[in-house]
Amino acid sequence: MNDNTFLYRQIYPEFTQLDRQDQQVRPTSQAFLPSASDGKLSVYDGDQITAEASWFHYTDVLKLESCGVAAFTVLECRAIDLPVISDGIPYPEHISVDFTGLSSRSQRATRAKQLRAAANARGWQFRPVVV
Amino acid sequence: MATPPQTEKVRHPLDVPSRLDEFRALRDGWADGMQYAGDWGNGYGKAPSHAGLDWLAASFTRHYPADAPLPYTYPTPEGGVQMEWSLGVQEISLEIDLETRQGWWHRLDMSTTDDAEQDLALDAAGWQWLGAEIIRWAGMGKGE
Repeated sequence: MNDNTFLYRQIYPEFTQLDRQDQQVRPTSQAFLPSASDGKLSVYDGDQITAEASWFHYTDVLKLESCGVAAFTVLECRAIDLPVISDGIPYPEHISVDFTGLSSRSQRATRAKQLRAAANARGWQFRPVVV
Repeated sequence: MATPPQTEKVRHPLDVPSRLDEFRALRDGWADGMQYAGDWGNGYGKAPSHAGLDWLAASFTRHYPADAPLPYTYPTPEGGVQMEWSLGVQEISLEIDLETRQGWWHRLDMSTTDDAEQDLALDAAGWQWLGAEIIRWAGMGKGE
């Protein structure tokens, strides 16, 4: 893992909204915000797995729902004071983005919006084809 | 351009009451996978109350200014609703508690990272304040 490593975040379908005007699927900043009790965001290590393979692992192996894969980088996390921890638990490619050092609700909301902006600028890394 | 049949209601792409209606299908545990990995498979996310969705749809329709940009609308794992506006460099969100009918407003200027927050009672005065803020920042985004 280095500064340029992509961190893949699975996006739950209800955390997106289709803007029927411009046909863009927009994720909520909540998709980039850990739960209050955990304080850490689970992502995949892009040096170890592709966006597409991460989606198949998440949906086929773990049986969880994702409508696509967004990405930000290690550097983008560190630039906003979010530590990135390669822990490999509960699967080898697992990385934690740590929000626990942020003391206020507004600090957490700000970081989530910044991560979403970074992911939006990069575009979806994988979207399943709906047939 | 073809005129829509008069019996067909033409909805705005971000029509809020229609979007809120979609959330009625959510059940407890709906957001499993969005929490930290150690808890995956155990369910995560509380279903929003139908009475709360009814209140929000009615309150929004009644009080939100017709000339203000409409928000993107999402459920929250806490059983509430989050509205979001992207207005130029301003990323604005309103997290709504359907039980207490309170909101938490957060505005982030992406160019400076300056932010502001406000607790809001979502009564007529609260929606009026929010509507004025949205119109203000939407105007700033257009360079007005």
